[in-house]
Amino acid sequence: MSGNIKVSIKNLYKIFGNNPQDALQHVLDGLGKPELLAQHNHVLGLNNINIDIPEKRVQVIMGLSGSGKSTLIRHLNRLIDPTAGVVEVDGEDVLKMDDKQMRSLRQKKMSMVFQKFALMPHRTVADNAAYGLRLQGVRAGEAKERAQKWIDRVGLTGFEKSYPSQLSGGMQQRVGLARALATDADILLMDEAFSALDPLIRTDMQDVLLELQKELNKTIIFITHDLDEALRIGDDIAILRDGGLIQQGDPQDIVLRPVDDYVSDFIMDINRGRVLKVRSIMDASGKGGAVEIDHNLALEDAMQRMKDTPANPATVTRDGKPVGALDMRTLIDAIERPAPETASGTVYR
Amino acid sequence: MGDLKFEEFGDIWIFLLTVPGLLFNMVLGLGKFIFISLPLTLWAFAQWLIPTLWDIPVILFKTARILFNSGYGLLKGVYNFFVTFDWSWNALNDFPSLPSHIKALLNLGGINQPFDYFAGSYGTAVKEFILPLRRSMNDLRDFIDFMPWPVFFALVLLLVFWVSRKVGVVLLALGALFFIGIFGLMDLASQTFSLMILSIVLCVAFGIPLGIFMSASDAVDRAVKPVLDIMQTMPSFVYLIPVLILFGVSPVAGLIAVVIYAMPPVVRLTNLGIRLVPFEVVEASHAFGATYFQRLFGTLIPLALPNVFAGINQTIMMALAMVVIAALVGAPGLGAEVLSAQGTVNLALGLQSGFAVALIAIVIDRSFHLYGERMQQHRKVGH
Repeated sequence: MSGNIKVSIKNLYKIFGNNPQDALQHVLDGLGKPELLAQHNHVLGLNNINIDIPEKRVQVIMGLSGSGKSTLIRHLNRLIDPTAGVVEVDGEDVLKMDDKQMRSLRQKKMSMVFQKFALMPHRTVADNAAYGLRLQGVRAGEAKERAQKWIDRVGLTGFEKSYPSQLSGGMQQRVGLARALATDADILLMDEAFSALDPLIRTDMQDVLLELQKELNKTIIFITHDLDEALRIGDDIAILRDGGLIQQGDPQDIVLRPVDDYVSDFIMDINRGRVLKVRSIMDASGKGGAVEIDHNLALEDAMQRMKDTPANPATVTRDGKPVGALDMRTLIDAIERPAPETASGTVYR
Repeated sequence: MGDLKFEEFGDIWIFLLTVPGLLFNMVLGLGKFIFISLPLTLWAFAQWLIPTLWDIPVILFKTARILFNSGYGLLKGVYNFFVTFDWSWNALNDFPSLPSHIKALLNLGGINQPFDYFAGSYGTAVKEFILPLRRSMNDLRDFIDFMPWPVFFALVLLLVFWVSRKVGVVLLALGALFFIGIFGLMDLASQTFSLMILSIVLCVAFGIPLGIFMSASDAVDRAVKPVLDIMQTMPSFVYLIPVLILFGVSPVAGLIAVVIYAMPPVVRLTNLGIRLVPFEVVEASHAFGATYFQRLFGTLIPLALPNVFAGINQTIMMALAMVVIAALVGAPGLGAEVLSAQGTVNLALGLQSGFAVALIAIVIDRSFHLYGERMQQHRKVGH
């Protein structure tokens, strides 16, 4: 599934303050975020970020507030200019673009969905959805038609003439999604797009997004601070802390092998039985018994199948062919919350 | 009776035939001022400026010499002051002011003579520049004067209804018109109207672009704000002096006084309104690749409109507050009547014309307030 690299971020630094270039030198000399703030009164926004984002996948970038994730996503379409580094989209350096190229990139290649929706309050739903198209120079009638298709897709048919303030939060974000999709951009930047919504509506919107993604295959860069959300929609997760990238990888990988205490604190409370898949913990060389389970099954479902014959390992299959085995003991070990001392050294419960 | 009817019929024909011409002249005059006189004057200024810039080294040298000489003079003056000062407690009674000969030198040579020189050499050019404005003002007054009163009433009431969409305000306007008419102030009120309309058109035509400039650049914002403060707080008689020297006692002098005093609110609130547009919305327009002008006309101005309208409303109020001072320098109308009432100590006359101004102000304020509210309702809360 790896495919071509769509967006590539190399050695990206961002420092906020009066004299970022001098502060950058201190950072290169090894100063961290708190020290830089204390000694030089500059805020380290991003610290040497390197991420390659393959096309047609959902790349989740997560971290707590202040970790630099929103700053990072704004570098991709240069709403924020970096202090140093390279951002390439389709092999083209975004930072070397002039205003016109930049506008064309924003109009046609990347569109963005915002945490606070950022809809134009004086435009109707239809006009909001057609906003990107109108900026591309598409005539009003055609833009309206094309936007209508997306309004229908996100389930807002009948609300075309409403103003954003008349809609609920979830519906407003559907408009935001329609506006971003209507431009036919390959890359979708989603900045905590669902964080402002109620939990139920959030799950709903995640479903909408996953369903659309199945069909559209866009490159989605999704910012969130919610690990459940990240695990649910991400093909790949990058975790930021204090502006630095601390772990990147497959969601399974992050849950099974957290790189440090910060990450293991993050994954402490997730439902491991639902997140982890059989393929991540199976014994590829083993041979199982009569019970067959698919390699992409969640552990809690596998447990359901195996509970009648707990003594015998089950056969793991992929496309009907056996690829390994899984015994009950391994399964229970994987579901069990990691012991506190291995997680962070601090005993929470 | 037949003759009378014929006469009135003829009047209406003359009216119908003349009105389009007057209106056309008015719009043409105003357009000529804004789109022809102003650019031509700016162009002439640029033509003067460029050879002047060429002379910069000479100017710099002369400036340096003047600065050096004045610095020397200043030091000498300070030295003399300390030498001749009688160092006693009595001397502390008054703050030492400039000696009268130096004051005379400064006032005459520094301010009055240069301005007299300017008025002498450029006065005609300035009058020429302002001529279209003066003509359009006359035409507007003629137009309003010329209208039969039912037509005028109907026009005003229709306008008030269109702006406010509320019968109550229309009734208020009718009451105001009735009040003005019954005390025989209609002619004066129409002159005040024409002054108001023109000054407001000018305030908006210059104020809104200036406000947009200020919102686009912090440097312009910092530079213009003190100027606006001075325009609002400087006693208007001060800037009426040069206006009087240049234009004489005339309606145009009054117009300029009103425009200077009434323009700041619309500039300020345009600037503020654009700066108050939510950051996320502005960011979204950036993120979808809007140019500055697409952002300005598609996002910033529409969202700033409630504030801009509040600014225009305030501008109208301040313009109305200026009618008496404008009357002092020759603007005819209700203000002049208030002045004459004050001169003859005639309370009744003063109250009548004063209330007429107040009623006009209240009607405009209410209708604009409702207009702004309607606009916001449409945009923010929904139908």
